[in-house]
Amino acid sequence: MVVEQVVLIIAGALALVSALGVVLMPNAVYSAMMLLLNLISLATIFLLLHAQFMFAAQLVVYAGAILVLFLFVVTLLNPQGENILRDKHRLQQAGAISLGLFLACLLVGGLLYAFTSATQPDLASTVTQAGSTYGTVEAFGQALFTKFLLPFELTSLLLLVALIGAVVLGKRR
Amino acid sequence: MQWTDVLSFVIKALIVAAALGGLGLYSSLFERKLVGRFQNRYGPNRVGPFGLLQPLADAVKLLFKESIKPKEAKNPLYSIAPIMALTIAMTAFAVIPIGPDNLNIFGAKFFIADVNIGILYILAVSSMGVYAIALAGWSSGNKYSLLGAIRASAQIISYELALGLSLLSVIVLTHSLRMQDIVAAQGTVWFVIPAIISFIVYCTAAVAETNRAPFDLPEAEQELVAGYLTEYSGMSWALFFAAEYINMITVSSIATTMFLGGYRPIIDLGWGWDWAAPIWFVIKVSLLMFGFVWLRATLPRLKYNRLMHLGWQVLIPLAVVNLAVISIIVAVVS
Repeated sequence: MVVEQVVLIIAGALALVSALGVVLMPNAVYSAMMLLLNLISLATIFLLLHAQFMFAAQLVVYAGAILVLFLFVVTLLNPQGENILRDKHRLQQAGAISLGLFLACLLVGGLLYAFTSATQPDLASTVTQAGSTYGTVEAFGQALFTKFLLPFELTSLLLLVALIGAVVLGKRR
Repeated sequence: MQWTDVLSFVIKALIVAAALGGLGLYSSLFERKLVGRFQNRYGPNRVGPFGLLQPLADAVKLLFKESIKPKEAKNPLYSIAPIMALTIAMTAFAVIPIGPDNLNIFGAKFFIADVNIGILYILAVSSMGVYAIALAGWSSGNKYSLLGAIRASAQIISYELALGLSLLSVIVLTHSLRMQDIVAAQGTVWFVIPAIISFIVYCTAAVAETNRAPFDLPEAEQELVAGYLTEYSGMSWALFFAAEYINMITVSSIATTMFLGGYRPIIDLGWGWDWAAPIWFVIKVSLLMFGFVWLRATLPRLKYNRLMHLGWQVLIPLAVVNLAVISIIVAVVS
């Protein structure tokens, strides 16, 4: 397990540092690059958790498509010297910081509850035992198209509506 | 996983990287020789016998050339972009098997990793390639570079969809994402025959993905000087150059694995010829590379609007319809 632990520590540290970098970088392009680093670190952590499909989806969808569009917009518009930290909107900053703290408390509380409650399933041992299909593409697809069929179809409908909306907005010149 | 496994992965990765680097160098000679023949001339023939040392001479020349960095260039991204291009081009090769599972040299098999998300991994890695180009164009601080990079990114994103959709029909045929399973499933008939439309779509999209002629819009020199490469010189330019050739090798290898039976022999020589599997693989990849060069020597460059039209209104609908037809046939048969 030593190799996995070392990789986890490196990926986790990179994820934290790059997440901070996204917020603190002076230039939007560098922020986008930090976000890319963050997504890749998270994908690595998914891989360590035996969530192979999530690893691929994270890279293909977020890093490969969405972030490229971000980068597109940022390089085209080229916003310069717009540093959020030097921004004048004091009220907005205070709101953002308090909301962030609230979410952090929620996250830590949830994690503490999950770790201390006695009824939680022992996921770690079921995942790592030999022959476990947890997180593989097959298991993922099976769950998606049987147990979670309705939410899946509803999500696809939502995406379709968004797509049509984008086309309509683009057509209106 | 133990540290010894990590060591064996690192050694294999270094061997593959070195081999790809050398092959990338020599595919430039391959291309120049062939284009020469297509145009009724000899091609490079001065350095070494048949010009065989030409790539080495070029590499030495590029190493000693001054790497000029423009004043407007934005470091560190300007320096990182060519390294990213080369790294991403090589990374996809990790899951491509060039020999069967039972073939090995001193216990080392002919692939780095046999993961059960093989195709997804390749799609994930190849979708990263656009970053190197986009960053190179932006960080050069030059309008031509930026325009070239934006063109290239738009082109790559558009054709990636067609590429992925064409590979999906192979997954439908094999019911597996593992590369070894895909090669094994082509024992009786190569997938190029049942999925011929996918193969055509894949090849077209692959040429566009590698920014090669006739889809080399990003470096259309009449309009954009050299696109995102404009401000690069010396070794950093050479890295982009090598990345382009290695990308060609990689997409040809993927096509070979997915559609042309991978390391399976073209002519079955019978028992005792198992060791020749990597050689068959190399022959098939070379044939596809020849196709790349042939296209470049034959076809003129497309107009940009024609390129987008082809990608979005021809290839993607074709790939979707083809995928639906293949899925229905597989569902009915099985």
